[in-house]
Amino acid sequence: MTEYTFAAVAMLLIGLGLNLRFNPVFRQNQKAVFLAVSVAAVAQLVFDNITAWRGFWHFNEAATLGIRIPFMPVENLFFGLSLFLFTILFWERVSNNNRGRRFPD
Amino acid sequence: MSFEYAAYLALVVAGTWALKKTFGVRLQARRLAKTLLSVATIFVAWDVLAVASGHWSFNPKFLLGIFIGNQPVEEIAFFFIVPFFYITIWEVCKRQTTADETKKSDANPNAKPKPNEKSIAKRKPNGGRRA
Repeated sequence: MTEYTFAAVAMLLIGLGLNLRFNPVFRQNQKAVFLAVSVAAVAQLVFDNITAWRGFWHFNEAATLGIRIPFMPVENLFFGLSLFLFTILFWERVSNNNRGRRFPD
Repeated sequence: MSFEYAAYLALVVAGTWALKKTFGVRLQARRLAKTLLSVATIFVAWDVLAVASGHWSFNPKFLLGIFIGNQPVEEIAFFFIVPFFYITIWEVCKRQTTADETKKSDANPNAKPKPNEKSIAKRKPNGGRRA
């Protein structure tokens, strides 16, 4: 079974859904989203391909689809993008003080 | 024991720091800490479960050899360092795209941040002129 694929796609969709619902900047500034996602994805493709090529990790073939771009599993890209989505979600939602949320709904 | 994974992480920190300095990005410390802790908690939990389920494993050849549970310290640091990088690029991209739509005079990424309430309160009522 492709558990890693399932988990990575699920987290990506959850991250996307939560941002659309709870992150006003994500909805309003789509240019920034596109630009930041592009930079994050390119940085990840470089970093993960070097480390995957060097052999930092062993991926269980049974847990993935087996698609590599070119050395890293495609699931890693989904993992990185969901990490990005959750990061900007929390960043836009938490306040710098203890008084609560930054954005009233 | 190898510093290789740690060295890659140090490179990410250096790159993020350079990006922060270049674009004059200032991140609020408490907000940053709350975000990093929340994100790291979720993703370290995922990593712990994934390693326990055998989805992936680490090659000890590239690690310092210090583990907390089934996680190498580098992997835990990864979930603080990479979100820090993501927040920095997110802030830069937000600033750049907002600057595109406003006047040129406002588009200077090195411009000083607007005075906050504290500095306004500190300002003398007569604008600093001699009485």
